[in-house]
Amino acid sequence: MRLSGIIRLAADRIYMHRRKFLLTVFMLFLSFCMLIGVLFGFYQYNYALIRVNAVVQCDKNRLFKVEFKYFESMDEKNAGQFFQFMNALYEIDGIRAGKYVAEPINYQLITTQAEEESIVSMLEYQQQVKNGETTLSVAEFYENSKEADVLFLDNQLVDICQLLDVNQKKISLKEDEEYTDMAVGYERQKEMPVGTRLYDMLTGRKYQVTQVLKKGSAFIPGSLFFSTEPELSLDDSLVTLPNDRWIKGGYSSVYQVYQNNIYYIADEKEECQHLAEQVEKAAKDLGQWVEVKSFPRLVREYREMEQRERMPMLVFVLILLFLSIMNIFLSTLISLLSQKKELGIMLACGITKKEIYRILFVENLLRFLTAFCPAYALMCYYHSRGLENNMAVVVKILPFLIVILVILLLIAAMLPIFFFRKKYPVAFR
Amino acid sequence: MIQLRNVSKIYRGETFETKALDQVDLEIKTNEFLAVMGSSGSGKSTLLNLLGGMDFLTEGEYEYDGMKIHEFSEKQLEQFRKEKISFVFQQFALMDRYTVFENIEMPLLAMGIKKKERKQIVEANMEKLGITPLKDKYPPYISGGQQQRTAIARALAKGSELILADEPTGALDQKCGEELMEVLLTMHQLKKTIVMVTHNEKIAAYADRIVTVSDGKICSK
Repeated sequence: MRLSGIIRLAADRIYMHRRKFLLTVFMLFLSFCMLIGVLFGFYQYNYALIRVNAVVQCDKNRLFKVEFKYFESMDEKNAGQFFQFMNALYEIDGIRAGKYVAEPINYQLITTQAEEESIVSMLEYQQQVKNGETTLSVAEFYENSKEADVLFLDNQLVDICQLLDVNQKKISLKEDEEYTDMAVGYERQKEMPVGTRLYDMLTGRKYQVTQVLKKGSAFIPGSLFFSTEPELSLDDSLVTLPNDRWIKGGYSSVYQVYQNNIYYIADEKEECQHLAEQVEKAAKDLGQWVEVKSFPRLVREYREMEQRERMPMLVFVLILLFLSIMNIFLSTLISLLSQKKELGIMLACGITKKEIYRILFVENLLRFLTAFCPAYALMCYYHSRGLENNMAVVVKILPFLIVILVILLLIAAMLPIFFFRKKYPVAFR
Repeated sequence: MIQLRNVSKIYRGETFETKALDQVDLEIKTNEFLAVMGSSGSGKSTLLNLLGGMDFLTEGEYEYDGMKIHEFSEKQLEQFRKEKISFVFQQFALMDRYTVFENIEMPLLAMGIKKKERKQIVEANMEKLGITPLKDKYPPYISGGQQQRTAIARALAKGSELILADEPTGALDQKCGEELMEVLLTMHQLKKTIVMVTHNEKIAAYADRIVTVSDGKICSK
């Protein structure tokens, strides 16, 4: 029999038993919605688990550090809250006035007090362009950068230095490029020795490299969160978290975490403590999206959270998967058993057993796809709302869903037919 | 030419063994109309199943135009049935959710015949059996006689050489039964070999030859 004949017979049979077909499809649709919804929810739950966490540290060099972790994609409300916190930090007494400088131990700020007052940050410049308050081009805006050896954006300064530490490479940016957000890649080309002048295009400040750590030192970007201990600074007191992904590996690589660090040199240790208290207060005022905690506490909380929340969810997903498979299998088998007479007549008409199995397979396939496609589309839409990077989540979950689809398809379409063969009306041996 | 030599069929269960056919010898000529008579449980339906390749012989040989059917695999038997055999059943064996046209068309679909050709063949056979007006009707809504004509049209449409009819008039009244036998005679004139199982002597009289089966053995030929 031609393929068209098989498809036609399968379609005919579906039409004839349309009520049963629609009922089965509806049951399957619900099963798929639950299954896919839980899988999406599983990812989004992890998404939601990780909020902005600020880690406040004071080391014996009086280096006060506030370290953040936040998501690449946040909805407007959450992003707004986060930036409010950032602004609040800058408002903390003394910091804005320039008493404290943003200075990690391997490079220093060389912008003078006078220059500080006239700096227009890139964000301010962009706002001015938007409001039509300036006619400066991007190139003119970056006039100050001519003296610099390296251009970068503020939150990548640590990345640059960390890369320097390991790879001894210089990082440069193209001058005439426009930067519309903070997540910009850069070209790694040359070395950046001591004395290299750096220009931060985001804040307008100038830095100079003061120290290059030896290769193999602690600042290694992109290490696994759970497989390595956090790297330590030279004096073992300042904790730096990996700057690439906070959770890495397998399906968790959905998340792109940014690290935004503020470093300050305090005059005395007491001032460090004072700053820490101020940061905590700023965080509390802003509510749930920012929490100040120590690094050990952060790690412990996350691990506990994962064990507590993730495993039960995973078990739930597996149970649901099993129930879905049983649903598909049994409904298909029962449907086949009720059609013995019809299938027997088809056999008597000259349709071979193999052709009958193909017809049944096509029917099951159509049933399966009719239920699965709308369920997947619906769940994609529902779960992608509120996420900026919608497609990333959808695309990253897709391989798993395809694997599940194939497995369920095989079970739904093939196994019942194998069972049914034993119950077939015509005995051959 | 069909030849059965020392054919036996034994059904074996967990606690029982039934010999449905016992050392049967039978020869059926091409284009012959043969009636097989016998009481219930005599083995006539089993004989029909073996002739139609619906079951395997336990012992013996079955040759069809020189082909050794008893040596066929399951797949070969399927192909043999597809190409050479048509069935007509007592209860018509029509699919209730398909129209008369679609029921007749079914075997042609199985043979992979194109749509246009299928339509021509079905319409021609419906014309032959006088059921053209029933084209779009469903089997539950037509009479028994019309249903059986539809079943015969289906058997004819396939173009098989051998037609096996298992009590074709069993569900019909006498008048309809006689009408149907006229139809079968017409088929016979179209150079079809017909083997018909019946327990009705009047119906059996329409055949060229009558064979009686009793307790799995052929008593008369």
